[in-house]
Amino acid sequence: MVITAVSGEGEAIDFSSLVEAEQAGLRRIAARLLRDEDEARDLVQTTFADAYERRGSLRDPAAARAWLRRILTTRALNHLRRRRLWRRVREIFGAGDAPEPAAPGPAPDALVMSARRLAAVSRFLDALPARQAAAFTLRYLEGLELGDVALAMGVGRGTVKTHLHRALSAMRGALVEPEESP
Amino acid sequence: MTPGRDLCERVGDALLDPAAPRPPGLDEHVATCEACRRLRDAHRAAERLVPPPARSAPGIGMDEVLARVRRRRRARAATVAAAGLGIALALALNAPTAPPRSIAGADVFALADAIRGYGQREVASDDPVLLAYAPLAAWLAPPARRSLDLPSLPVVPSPEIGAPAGGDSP
Repeated sequence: MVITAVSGEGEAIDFSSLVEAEQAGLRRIAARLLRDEDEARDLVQTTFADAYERRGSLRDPAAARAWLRRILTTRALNHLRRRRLWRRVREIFGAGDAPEPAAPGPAPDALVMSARRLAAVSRFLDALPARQAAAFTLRYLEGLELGDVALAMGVGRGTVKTHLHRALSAMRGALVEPEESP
Repeated sequence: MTPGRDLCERVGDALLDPAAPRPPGLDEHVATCEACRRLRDAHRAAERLVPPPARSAPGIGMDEVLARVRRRRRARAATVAAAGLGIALALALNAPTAPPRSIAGADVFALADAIRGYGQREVASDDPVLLAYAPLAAWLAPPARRSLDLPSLPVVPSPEIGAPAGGDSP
């Protein structure tokens, strides 16, 4: 199905091609931000629906990737905040901790984090404020440049550095494993 | 701000942002500053984190996206309709109660005439068959109610049959 949308500047966008081209990257980012594959898929679908409804706000079709990342990150931040709130509520009412999100797939090679470390990273990110967790994930786990992280989060470069600085300060000890210490 | 703290900030900037200017003596500072050394170590450890690749899952088709858009629009329309209904209901419930309808003077007079006509029947007077029973009929008839003969009721004089037009003129 070919769906053509019109950007804010009146330029035609092949929306179905955009969905096809960008979904893999967006799903990877979503999975790293949410650490849950099913939620990630839903988030990406929501992102495309948002984008379709707001296609008039896209000024430059060449910036579609950054635009989609921004929509996704904003949605993911809201999702993380809600998830944290519900976890608190469950804790308050004595339902115990929420189950750990499923680790996204088995580790295929030696460079990849061990399951133990992955669990430690998940716990560490869960404990961070949503914006710090998002900045950390986009920068270190997704490997985006600082400028791209800023674009995705809709904040300035300096703000991203502040979030990263705080996240790294919180990380001390949380992720340092014996294998790294001499 | 102290010079040392300022230097720590610039070192932090340089560590986190490859595009930031590298302050002179960065390495010497990091070697002597515990906070900056910890930041550098944390940054290096974070850079070494390589997450596992995302699991392959069925792709998202454009039809799914459009279906979601349609669901949203329906949900929004339902929300707007429900809100409108709620507002209309609230307005209807809070509307001031209507004042008692005033009875027009004409209605009062018509009512009075009807009651008078019902209560002041002369049952047998016009019926030759019942004429013999007139006293009985008069006795059975409801009592004449004069209380409704209000002096304010307009009395339209009926013209006398055979009377000359123009009233009492000779």
